[in-house]
Amino acid sequence: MSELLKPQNLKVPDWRTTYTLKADYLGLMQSIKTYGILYPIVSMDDGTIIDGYARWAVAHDMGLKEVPVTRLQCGLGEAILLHVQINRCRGQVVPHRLSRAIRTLLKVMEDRDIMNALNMSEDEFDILEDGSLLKKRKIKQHNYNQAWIPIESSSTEDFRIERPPTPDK
Amino acid sequence: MPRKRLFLDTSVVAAARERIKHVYDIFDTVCVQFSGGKDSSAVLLLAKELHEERNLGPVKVIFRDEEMVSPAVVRYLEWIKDLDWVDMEWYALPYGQEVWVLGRREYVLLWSKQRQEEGRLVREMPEGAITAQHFGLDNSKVMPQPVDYYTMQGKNGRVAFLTGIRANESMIRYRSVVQKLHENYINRPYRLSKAIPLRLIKPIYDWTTDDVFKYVSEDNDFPYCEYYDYAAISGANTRVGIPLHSVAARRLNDVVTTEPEFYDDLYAAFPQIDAQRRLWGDFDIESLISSYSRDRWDGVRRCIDDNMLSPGKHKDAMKFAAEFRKKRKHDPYGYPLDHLMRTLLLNEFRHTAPSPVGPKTKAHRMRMAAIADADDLDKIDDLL
Repeated sequence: MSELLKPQNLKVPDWRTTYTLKADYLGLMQSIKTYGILYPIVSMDDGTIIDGYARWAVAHDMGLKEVPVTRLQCGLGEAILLHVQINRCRGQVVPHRLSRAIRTLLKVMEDRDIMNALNMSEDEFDILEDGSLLKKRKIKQHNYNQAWIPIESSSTEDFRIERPPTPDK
Repeated sequence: MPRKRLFLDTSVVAAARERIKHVYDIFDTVCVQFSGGKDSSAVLLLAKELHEERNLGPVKVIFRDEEMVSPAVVRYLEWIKDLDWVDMEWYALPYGQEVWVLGRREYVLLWSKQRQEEGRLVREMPEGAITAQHFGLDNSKVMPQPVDYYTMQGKNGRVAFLTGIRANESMIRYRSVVQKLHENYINRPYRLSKAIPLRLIKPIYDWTTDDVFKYVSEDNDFPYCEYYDYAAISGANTRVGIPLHSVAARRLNDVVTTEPEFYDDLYAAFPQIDAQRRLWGDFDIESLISSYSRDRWDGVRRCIDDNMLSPGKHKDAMKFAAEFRKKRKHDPYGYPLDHLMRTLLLNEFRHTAPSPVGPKTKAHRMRMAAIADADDLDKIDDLL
């Protein structure tokens, strides 16, 4: 069962394993402004946060008086394990599915409203809205390259290899 | 002699059409070796043009199914197979394949009977596929001959397989098309007996990715595999192929961001890959290489024992290390031990001879620094 507590009564654990990027933090803030905190923060009995640090931080920064909290009676080991399990097992957004969702949203919302609500740049929105690589690669404007054959030469040339768009490690 | 490119007064598409015509003129049987990727789609459409022009009937297509094929690619292949102008042979043969996790390597058998019985195939065996049983063998062992030997059975006379290989995909592929000066795009398959009259053809060797997409989508209004759209919007690798070998596995998270259900299928068959997904981003492979290199040849042995997990891989690694040792005796600067460790942990070494450190590699930079600073004997000693 959840209860309403003042954010000041919760504590940040020194064993937290997660980090929320600024961009994600702003997106979460936008969501909390619109819908409030829908899922309770999970804490130990003494108020140490197990899950929901970002929600707590947003509530703190926005000056919310109370946040929903589910308190668990558990020891330190159990709390850390739960914290890791919740975060390691959380699903992730699949870009092509997000793209499909954006196209569905466009039937009921304006571009700008979607971008604002999801804290998305225009570039990111354009790619997701289109959902195909042809626009991104500007295939329509592309002119075919000249054909070539190999010849012997006294020196080599620098030949460019196409690399993936994101670097390999 | 070094090679350069001589650019012609013709587009890549016109040149590829000429190459394909020439191949159909000089070979008795021509098949498209199809992978489901964009490049082989372009080759398939080029072959279709000629078949229509010369009234040759359906295009013969060969697909070598390597089990770990993404669902988007399988859907595309099934669609291609059902086209009335395509006559596809779908092969699912047991061959060894590497699974690479944080530098640890093992061979697994594709379409293995044992995994099939345990319910651990990545996908069900496709209906109607040509399997080991069709050659009087079974899928409990690796096929004794190279795959081209089997896929060319039943083809008449001189046989040509058209492939979508392009020079700008890698330096190895570039070299493979500049080695010969005459008919540079017609090559003998690697490790296949000279007595077998099969040649691999690379009609689009000089195309870029944009040339391929323009030809497929704009000129032919032909669908490409939807995987490319998934990759484009997530910044993932655009190669369709086995995702678990030593190079592809370093981008395993691309599978998760493009087709997470495919990752689940791979994970069900090979649960060890999850360590690669979770830890590779932070894994310090250089420190592992250094720690083995410090112990010199004992370190090499330890590196092989720790990381080559299947007997075949262990044997290949020992053989490679022995050849490396011989070369190192004559050229210790060109063959530093960390180069050997890096090759064993990160690169392909099966069927390849050890090569000296190349420019732009870390080992090469260290070697040059040591030579420049010849007074620093410790540094040179480290390298040796």
